[in-house]
Amino acid sequence: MENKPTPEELAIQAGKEYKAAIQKRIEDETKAGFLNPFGEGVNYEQFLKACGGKANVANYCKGMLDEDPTKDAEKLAFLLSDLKHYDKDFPAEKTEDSPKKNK
Amino acid sequence: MAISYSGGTRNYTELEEIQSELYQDSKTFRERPIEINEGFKSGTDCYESKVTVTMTALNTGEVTATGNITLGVQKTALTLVTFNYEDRIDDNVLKGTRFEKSMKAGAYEVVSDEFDKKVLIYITPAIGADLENKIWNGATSATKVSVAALTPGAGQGSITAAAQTAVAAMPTTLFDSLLTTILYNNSNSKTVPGAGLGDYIKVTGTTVTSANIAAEYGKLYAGAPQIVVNNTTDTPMIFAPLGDRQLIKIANNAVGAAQQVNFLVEGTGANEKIYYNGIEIFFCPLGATFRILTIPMYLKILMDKMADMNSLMVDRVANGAMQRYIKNVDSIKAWVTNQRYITLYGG
Repeated sequence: MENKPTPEELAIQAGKEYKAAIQKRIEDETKAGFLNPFGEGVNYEQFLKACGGKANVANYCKGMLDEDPTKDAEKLAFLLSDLKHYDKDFPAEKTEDSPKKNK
Repeated sequence: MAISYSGGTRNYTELEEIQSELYQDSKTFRERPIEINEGFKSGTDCYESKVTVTMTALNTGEVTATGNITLGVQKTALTLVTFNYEDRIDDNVLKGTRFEKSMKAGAYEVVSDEFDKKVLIYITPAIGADLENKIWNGATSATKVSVAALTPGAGQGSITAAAQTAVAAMPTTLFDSLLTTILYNNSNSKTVPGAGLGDYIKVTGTTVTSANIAAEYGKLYAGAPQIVVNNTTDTPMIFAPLGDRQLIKIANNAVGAAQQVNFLVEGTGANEKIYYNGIEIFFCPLGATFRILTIPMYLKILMDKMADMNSLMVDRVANGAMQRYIKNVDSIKAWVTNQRYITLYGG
């Protein structure tokens, strides 16, 4: 008789599928030419790689973050501000908790 | 005849009241806006359930296994942290002070009744204030390392770099605060079970001032799940930094044409309540960059006994020592459930 997975195994499996789906979406977006930094599960390491580095963030994102120009500007301002913290305190560092780096 | 005196002078009177420190009110424990559970010694298991159902076309035949009803239950083991506040005091140093007057006769008797009633009595309010701060703001050194190791991002499913910085700057404590637990925990009920980023809903934040506080609360409110905001059984609450009370009042009472009353303020003093769009705001010692909107029962404090925080063991040290020991022991675990319904501004 087939062993049915336990609720714990099901939860772990669902978590893996969730991570894989996010990774797939990130890869697809990157291939399509714009990786939205506000997309679910996108981290700065992946985003900065996709946009070509911090110096390109403003050009890469302008007009792409929201249809509303005011919200677009707000989101870009937040992104630039938050990336300052990333620069300062958290240079790219990988752990098992981080989503896998794009190959 | 003129008085001839030498030997120095001193004051023979003093103000009756000893001016005490102002302690942060341990309002969370007193008013219990969140769930405080007692009766745990070392740990407990927390179960969360999630049921999903799928509608299908009518089947008039035998019911078979369809997989259309999923009954999920996850268990997470929680461990309480036990810690203490303790020290030894030497009452002998109070000789020569106002407290000498209340010491019993006898050279061995150096305990001042007045000192106990007017100074020592403030140990428990100080402990209460410390615990109040630590249940909202603080992280263990291990959690700080784990949070710092996450790769930040702007969207959902990532911690912002600003939040990482804020966690790194938090007081290092013996147990994780509620806020830290929202950000990072080992719940098995998350989308990705186990140790890692919490399942909270992120609302990106900025520096909140009296000029933008209404707009920023608007973002928090708009970012919250509709099912939470519309819940009338367990109404949601906003948990905000203490400083927001001032910013809200300043914003509400701005003079001139720009005045906009975005926050409802009812009552005064101890009875004052402040609401944003009908949601009560509870002010607590959260870090200034964070605000939480959730159903309060999802935030939990587990304790052995809440009265522990007011219980002080004071007695003479053994073997004839003229010193006394002071000891207070507490057990606490901060926990969060239904994380996907917790909206965190600044997370």
